[in-house]
Amino acid sequence: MSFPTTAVILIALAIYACVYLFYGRKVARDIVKIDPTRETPAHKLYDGVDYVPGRWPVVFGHHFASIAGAAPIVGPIVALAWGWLPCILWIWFGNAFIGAIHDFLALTASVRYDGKSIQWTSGEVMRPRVSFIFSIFVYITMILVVAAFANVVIGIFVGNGAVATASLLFIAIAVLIGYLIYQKKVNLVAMTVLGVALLAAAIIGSLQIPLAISRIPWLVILFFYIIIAASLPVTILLQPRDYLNAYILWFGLAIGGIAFIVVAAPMTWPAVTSFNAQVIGGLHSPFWPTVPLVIACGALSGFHAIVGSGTTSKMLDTEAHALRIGYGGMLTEGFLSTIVVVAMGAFGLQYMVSVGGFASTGAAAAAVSSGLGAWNVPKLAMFTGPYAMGLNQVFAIPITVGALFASLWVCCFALTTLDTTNRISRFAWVDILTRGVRSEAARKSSPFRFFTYKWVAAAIAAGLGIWLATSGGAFSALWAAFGGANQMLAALALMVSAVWVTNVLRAGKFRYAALIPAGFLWITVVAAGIWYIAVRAGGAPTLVIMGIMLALAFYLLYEVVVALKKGPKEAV
Amino acid sequence: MDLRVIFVVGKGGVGKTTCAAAVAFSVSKDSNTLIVSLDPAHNLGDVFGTPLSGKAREIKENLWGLEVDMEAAIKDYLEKSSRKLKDMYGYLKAINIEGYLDTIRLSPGIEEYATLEAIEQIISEGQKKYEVIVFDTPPTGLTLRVLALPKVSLIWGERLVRLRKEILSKRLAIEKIQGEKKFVLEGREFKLSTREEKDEVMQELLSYMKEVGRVEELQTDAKRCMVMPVMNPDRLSLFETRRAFDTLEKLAMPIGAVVVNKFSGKEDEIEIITKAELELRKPIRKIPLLEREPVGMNAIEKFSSYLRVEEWLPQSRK
Amino acid sequence: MKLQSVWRFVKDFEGGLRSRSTEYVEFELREMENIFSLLLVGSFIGIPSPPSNISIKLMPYVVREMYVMGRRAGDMDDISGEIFGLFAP
Repeated sequence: MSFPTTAVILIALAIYACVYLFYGRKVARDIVKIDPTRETPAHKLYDGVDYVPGRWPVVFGHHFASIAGAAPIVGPIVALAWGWLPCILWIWFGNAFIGAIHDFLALTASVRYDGKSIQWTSGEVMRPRVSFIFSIFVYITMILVVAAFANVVIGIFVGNGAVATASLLFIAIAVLIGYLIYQKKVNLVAMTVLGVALLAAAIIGSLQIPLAISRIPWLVILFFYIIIAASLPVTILLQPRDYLNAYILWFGLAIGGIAFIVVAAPMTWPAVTSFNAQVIGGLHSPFWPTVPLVIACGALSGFHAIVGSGTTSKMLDTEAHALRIGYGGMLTEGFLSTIVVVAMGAFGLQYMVSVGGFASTGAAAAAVSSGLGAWNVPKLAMFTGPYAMGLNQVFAIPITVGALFASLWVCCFALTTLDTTNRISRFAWVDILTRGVRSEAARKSSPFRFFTYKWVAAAIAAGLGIWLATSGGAFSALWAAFGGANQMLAALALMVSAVWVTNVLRAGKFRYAALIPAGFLWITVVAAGIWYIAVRAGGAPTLVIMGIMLALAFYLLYEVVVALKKGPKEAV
Repeated sequence: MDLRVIFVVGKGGVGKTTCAAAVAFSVSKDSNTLIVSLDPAHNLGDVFGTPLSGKAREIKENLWGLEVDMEAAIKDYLEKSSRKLKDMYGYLKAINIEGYLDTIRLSPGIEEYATLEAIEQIISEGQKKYEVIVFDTPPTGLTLRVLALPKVSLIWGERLVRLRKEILSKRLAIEKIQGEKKFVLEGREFKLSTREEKDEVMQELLSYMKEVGRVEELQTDAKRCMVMPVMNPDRLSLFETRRAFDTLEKLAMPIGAVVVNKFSGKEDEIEIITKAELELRKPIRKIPLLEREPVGMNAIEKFSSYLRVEEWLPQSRK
Repeated sequence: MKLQSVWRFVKDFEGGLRSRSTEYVEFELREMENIFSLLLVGSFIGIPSPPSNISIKLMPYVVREMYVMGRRAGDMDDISGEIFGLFAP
C-alpha cells in the first residue's frame, strides 16, 4: 500500500476539520453550553496583567506555542516501530476524541471557575486532597521529563556534535538578545530579526565546529545547566529563548508542512509491522495499551490542561473562542505529529539505507518490522534525517543543514523544558512538603528548612532526573515512563473534567462524551502501567516510580467514584 | 555650612534642660545660638525665666530659644498624610484606606518621625541665621531612636530604590514591546511610570534620602556635631549612659564631654565618676548639687562655668 | 476587504508572538510590585519593613502596586496552578 504524503496530509486536514465542525461544536454546544454572551474572567477580573482579553489569533498563537514542544516530535518517531498506519490513526482519532476534548474541557472548566487552574478545580469538584495529589503527580512527571529529555538532548549531542555547538551558540544568542531587549530596551522587531539571523549563521557555522563530548560529561554538564538556568532571573535566558523558540517552531512547521504536501513521495515505511512490535525497552509492546505512552503529547498531553487552565483561560475574550483555541489548538498539534509521521513514512527507509548500512529499502523495512532495536540509527535522527530529505527535495536545502535545523528544533525546546521543569519541580516540592507537614514545630525544624531551601530543592529535582537518565533504563523505556506520567496527568485532568461535566454542568446523557474518554484513558493508562512493571520495561527506579503512580491512579479512581456518587451539585 | 549642632541627651530628671541651657549660654558668648527644646515636658522657658513658644524668641544677645509643640507637629503630620492618602485612594473601594489611616495613627514610631522631621526643619531653616543650635532632647530612649532613624532610613531607602529601579526597568522593557499601557481602576486612570524622572515614588525616595542624608552627614561629622550626655552620679545613671554610648558609637556620632550633674561629693559618687572616666573614656564635667534649682540668667551663667566647653566643643571657624 | 483581514490576521499572529516575549517578564514584574507593596505596609502587618514614615510618604503614589498586592493575596489559593501553567513544558 503506497500512499503519497500529500494524501496523508490532506486526509489529516479533512479529518480534523470534520471532527472540529461536527463533533467539537456539538460538545461545545450541548455539553459545555458555550455562551458567547457570558463574561469571561478576562473581563470580569480584568487587571491589565494576567486577566487581559486578547484577540483570538493572538491567544491561539500564544496557547499553541505554549503547548507545542519537542514531545510531539519524539513520540511518533519511536511509535513508528508499529508501522505508520496505527500511529497515524491514534494521532488522528485519539487526539480528536480524547486529547483535544481533554484540552477543551480543561480550558472551559477554568473559564467557568474564574481562571482557576485544573488543580484548583480538582479540589473544588472533588475532595481537596485530590488537589494535593495533583502536585505529587506533577512532581513525579517533572522528574521523568528531565530523565527523558536529558536523554533526548544527550542522544542528539553525542550523535551529531554540530547540534551541541549550535545549541550552545543559541544559548549565547538568547542571552545577548535578551540583554539587548530587556536591559537596553532595543526595538523588539529589530532584535528578533537579529536573533533569527544570528541563529541561521550559527546553524551554518556549527557544521564546521562540532563538539565531541561523550555521554557522561554531558550528563554532568546538563545537571549544572538545569540548576543554573532555572535559578537565573527570567529575562537573562528563559524569556528570550522561549521567545525565539516560537519562531523556530513556526518556521519548521511551515516549511515542513509545505515540503511534505508538495513532495508527494510515497509512504514507503511499513504501514503496519505487528501488534506486538518491539518498541519499549526493546520488548514486545502491545499497541494497546502502550501506544499512548509512546506518542504522548502528539495525541494527548496532561501538560495542556495545566497550560490551558493556568494561563490561556485568563486571556479568552469570549467563551465562543474556547473551541478553536482549546480544541483547535490540540488538533493543530496533531497536525505537527502528522508531519513527523509523514516525514519518516516517506523518507525513513531511504535514510536508514544511506546512514544505517542497509543494503536496500527492502532490507530496512524488514529491520523495522523486527523492532526498534534493529533500526541501527540514532532514534532521533529518524525524524531529522527524513525531514531534511524532504526539505532538500522541495527547497534544495542541503541535507546536513536541514538535519541540523531539525535537531536544533528538538534540542532548543528540550533545553528550555529542562529549565522550566526545574522551576516547577522546586515549587511543587516545596508545595508538597508544606502541605504535607502541618505542625508549626515541624516546619521550624532544620530538616524542613533544609529541604525547602531553594538550592536543595533544585538540586534534588535535577539530580533525580539525571540519575534516572542514567539508571532508569533504555531511552525508549524512559520515554514511555515519561509518557505514562503525562498520560496519567491527562487522565487525572480528564476525570476532573468529567466530574465537572456530570455534577456541575449536569450534562445528562451528554456526559458520556467526557466520561467515556476519561474511563477509556484511565483503563488504558493503568493497563499500560501494569504491563510496564510486569515486563520490567525500565530500570528499577523507573519501576518504583511507575508503581507509585499506579497506586495514585487507583486512589484517584476511588475519589472520582465518590464524587460521581455524590451526584450533581448546584450549577456554576 | 558652618552650623554646629549639639545634642544634649539623658534620662528624665538628670538636669538635662539646665545643662543644655548652660551649654547654650557658654557658646552664645561668641556665636549666634539657638536653643531648641524637643522634650514634650518643656522646662526651657522656666529655666531661663523667659516664656518660649514655637517661634524663636530672643533670650539675650546672641541667644534665641524655641519650644517645639510636638503634639501639634504630630497632629499636623498625621493630617497631611491622611489627606494625601484620602486623595488617592479615597473612593477606591478595591483598596480600603480607612483601615490604614487608623493604623497609622497608632503605629509605633510616629513620635520619632515627627521629631526627626522637626529637627530637619529647624536645621535647614536655622543654618541661615544661627551658628550653633543646641537641642534639649526628649528622654534617652526616644532620642536614640530618633538619632538612629537617618541611618535606618538610608538603608531601607537604598533597598527600595534598587527594587524600584528594577520595577521601572521591567516596565520600560514591556512598554517598548507592548506599547504604553494605562492602569484603570474603577474608572480612574493611572499612568504606570517607567522612567525615574517621571516616577513620583522614585523622586520622593530620592529627595527623602537626600534630606535624611544631610542629617546623617551632619550627625557623624566631629567638626560640626557633638553629643553631650548628662548623667547623675549613681549606678543606674551610669548604666544607662553606657548603653547610650554603645548606640551612639554604632551611629558614629561624636561625643564631647559627659556631664555628671548633682554631684554632692559622697564616696560612692566618686567611685561612680571614676568608673565613668574609665569606661566612657571622655572628658567628665562635674556639676555640684545646688541648694536650689538654678533658674534665671545668673544661675545659668554660674552653671556654665563648670562645663568649660572651650575644651571639648568644636570651635567656630572665626 | 479580504486583504484587510489577512493583514489583520498577520498582525494578530505577530501580537501573539510578541506577547510571548514578555510573558515571564510580566510575571516577574507583578511579583516585584507585590513585594514593593508588602514592604511598604509591612510595618502594619508585622513583617520587617522600612520606617513607616517612608511608607506613608510613598503610599499615595503606589495605587497600582497596592492593587496588585490585593489581587495576589486573592490568587494565592491557586499559586501552584499558576506557576505550573506559566512554566509548563
